[in-house]
Formats: sequence, structure tokens, C-alpha cells
Amino acid sequence: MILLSKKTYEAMIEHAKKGFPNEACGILAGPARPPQRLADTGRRTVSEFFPMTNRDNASISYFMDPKEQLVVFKKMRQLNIEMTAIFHSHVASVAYPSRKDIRLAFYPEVSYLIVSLSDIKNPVLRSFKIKDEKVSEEEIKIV
Amino acid sequence: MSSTDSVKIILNGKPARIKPGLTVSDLLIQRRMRAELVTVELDGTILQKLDYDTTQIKEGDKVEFVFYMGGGDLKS
Repeated sequence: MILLSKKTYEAMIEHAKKGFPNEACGILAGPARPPQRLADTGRRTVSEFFPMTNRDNASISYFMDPKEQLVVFKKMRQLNIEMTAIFHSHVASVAYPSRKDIRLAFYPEVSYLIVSLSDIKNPVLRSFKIKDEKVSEEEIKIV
Repeated sequence: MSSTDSVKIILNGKPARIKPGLTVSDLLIQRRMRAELVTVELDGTILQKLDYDTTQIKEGDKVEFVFYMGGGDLKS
């Protein structure tokens, strides 16, 4: 389960809409996972949203700017938080990982959040784990 | 790995020890990372992929790796 504040949720949707008709993307971060010796409840809390530039500038793909990625990774370390999820929008299709999303999912420990803007007035946000090219959906709780 | 047969670097913000004389390509292979899928920054400068084979990592270097983050629509 991934826990998002309403403020974070709204920031993500606003960023996606601002990028429309192109795809938009971002990084979500929150408190570090518990040490391995402690039980992991599987719950992840998001405390920060970092809007990123879609360098593809396209409606059917996104590619984060590596320079921005490096800045955000250093910022997360400064804040003692870690990447919880990778976010992007699909502007004309459902909120489900595409073949390309699956092929390029290199962070199995994080969630992949996808918002569909195919009905822009009613965005649909879903979250997935992608490991070894296998997709499993997880619950999102907006608190 | 003892300090005599290793060099100390900072890898993604954490101290790490690697064998002396490793190039960026060697380190990627050691970490099972495919060069075409990562961006590597060395002491604040993003390296060109062409330079991975010839850039040697030295004592005290700060190395950052980030994986490609991309994807796209269901039709792609």
C-alpha cells in the first residue's frame, strides 16, 4: 500500500495536467524502509513530490532528465528520505504499465504510479510494483 | 578488502571500497549494471558513455549512478 497526502496527490495531478497533451513524470519520496531486521509492513508513505521534466516532450513517452535525477537523488539523501515511487501520466490510455514501462522498470523496490488523463476531468491514478517484468497492483490510500 | 589493495570512494553517497585501477566500465560490470541504462556522474560531472572504458576511478572520487527512468503509453 502506498500512502499519499491529498496535497501530494493534487500536486501530481496538477503537474500531469500542466504537461498535457504530453506525458508528465515525477519522483515521490518518503521515509526510509525499516532495517531488514524489522518486519516490513509493505506500507510506504510519500512525503515529497519532485516534478520532473519529460525530456521526450511527447504524448506517448517520457524520459526523465538524468541531470535532474541526480539533483533529486542528492536532495533525497540530504532530507534522509528515499525514492518511494516513480510517477508518470498516460494521456490517452488507461493507467496500466505499457510494455515499455515494464521493460524500463529498473527499480523493483519502488512503486510505479500512473495517472490516466484520457478523461482529463476525471483522472485515474493506480499504483503498481514491477519486478522481473511482472506487474502487481497495490492499493493507494489518500489521507 | 584491506586498505592496501583497495581505494575508498563515495558511491551514491555512501563510502565504498573498490579494487585499484577500476574503470567506470569495470565498476558497472562488477555491479551488474548495463552501461546503456545508467547515467554516471564522477565528481559532479556527467560522463559520456564513450568515456566509461577509459575513465579510471581514483581514491576519494564521488561516483553517482542513476538508472534510466522512462516509459510511455500503452500503445508503445
